[in-house]
Amino acid sequence: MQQKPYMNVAEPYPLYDTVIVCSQLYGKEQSINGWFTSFRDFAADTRHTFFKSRTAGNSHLAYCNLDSSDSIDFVYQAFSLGVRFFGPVMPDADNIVVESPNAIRENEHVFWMFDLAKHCGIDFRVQQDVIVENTCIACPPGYGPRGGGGAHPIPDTNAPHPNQDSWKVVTGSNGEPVIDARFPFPNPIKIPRNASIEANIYLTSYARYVLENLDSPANNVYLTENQALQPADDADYFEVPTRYGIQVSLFGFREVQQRGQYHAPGAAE
Amino acid sequence: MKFMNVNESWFLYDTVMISPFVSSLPHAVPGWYASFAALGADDDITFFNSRNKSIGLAYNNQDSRDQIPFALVAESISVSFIAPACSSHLGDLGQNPIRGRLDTISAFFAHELPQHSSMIFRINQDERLKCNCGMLPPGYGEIGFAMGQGDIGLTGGGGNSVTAGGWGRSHLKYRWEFATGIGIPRRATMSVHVRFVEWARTVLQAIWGPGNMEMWNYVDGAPPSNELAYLYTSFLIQVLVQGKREVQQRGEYHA
Repeated sequence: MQQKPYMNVAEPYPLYDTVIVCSQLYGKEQSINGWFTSFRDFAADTRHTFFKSRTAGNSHLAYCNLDSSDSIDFVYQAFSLGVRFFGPVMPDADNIVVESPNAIRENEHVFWMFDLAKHCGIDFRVQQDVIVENTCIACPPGYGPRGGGGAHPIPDTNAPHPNQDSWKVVTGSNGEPVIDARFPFPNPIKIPRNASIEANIYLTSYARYVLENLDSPANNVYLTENQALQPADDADYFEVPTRYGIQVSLFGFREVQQRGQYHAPGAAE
Repeated sequence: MKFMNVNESWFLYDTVMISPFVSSLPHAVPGWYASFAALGADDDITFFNSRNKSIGLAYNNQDSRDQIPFALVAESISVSFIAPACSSHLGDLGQNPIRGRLDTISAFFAHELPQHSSMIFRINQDERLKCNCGMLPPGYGEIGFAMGQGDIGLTGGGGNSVTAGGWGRSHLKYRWEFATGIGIPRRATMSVHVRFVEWARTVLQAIWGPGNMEMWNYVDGAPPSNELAYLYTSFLIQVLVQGKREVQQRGEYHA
């Protein structure tokens, strides 16, 4: 077999890390640094750090795709930066009354997804260099659901069976959900292998004031099969903690050793 | 005349369906689910290695269930969470006068679940992309967003809610691109593995559904309120690779 010279190849690749706020953390999530079980605890920290403590292994690939918690595993060229504030599409509620959701908070996920970014700053560093300092609302993620809107809310949240009424649903993004709509690096930032990177999100006193006065995240209250098949008075509901998060991402190219030399027309050499 | 391959724009896609309709199929489709509970119980949802176009061209266009039958240069990839726009999910009326109802699951599935899902894209033994599914919008699907007030009655027969939207802008330009293309040889294997975080699996395993959408019963003609038809809704997860396939030159019509 003919030996070919060693060569790195560039692959489009994202890097991302996530802070989660959820009243219940599952399994190994409980030991993750920088995740919180209440807005109040989240607001107690003025600064939230990314790319420093989590990996795909200790969290989940959906939330972090770093193999090393505090250094880059490969040469990376960053083309853009984005921050996504995400939350549930339906309001937090409790299952206090056995036969129905109750104490529905219709505004908390709206504040988190759309207002909080206006009151947070972000910086991004490579080694000791500060590359970006910006407000989060000007660092849109470039991905997320399209559209946005809210349906008619529940007329009476204390009614016995509000699930029979229409729920308010809120969906949308900060910025257009297209890959072009991110904070760009016109001259890509070249990050060497094993370099450290870091992003920090800073809460203003106003953001902390709002969040520390909320008792959420609470739950989404869903219909179970029992509720679907039996008269509502005798039925039960399933509640699951709502999950809020902030995801910081870099889009760019990683350089990896040449592999998978798949020259399309041919089979194995 | 000299042999030559030519490029053709091509989509390669595979789909998982979640619907009670799956149970009614005479032959089970591997990797399809009859309920959210069954979907949530599976830790690894796989694509491009178990189905072919026999399940329906709307869902799959593979000739071979586990090999690429032609050389393909992959240029972009997406993972799409597709929910029914008829978003009022109703239970069976049975002997009870009150029908269970859920209006929010379409919005949850299409607008929230992708953020809590991950994917791994493999060609032969190589992992070419490990990523959050939310970063891989499809670039197609219904546009706009509508969520109307649903029927506030308890027995059906009134207005139903609508959820029309999706992930990312509905334009094929806005997809996750492999800028230089990935050349995949003929007969290579390709697979995509989607996984949910434990929180999402907890929701899916406990939630009821998919339910039924309310229609008028055609057989019974102009219906009074007790002659409505309740038909299964279906949710889809679709992975689509866009690129160019290389095929033998054909249609060379030299006048």
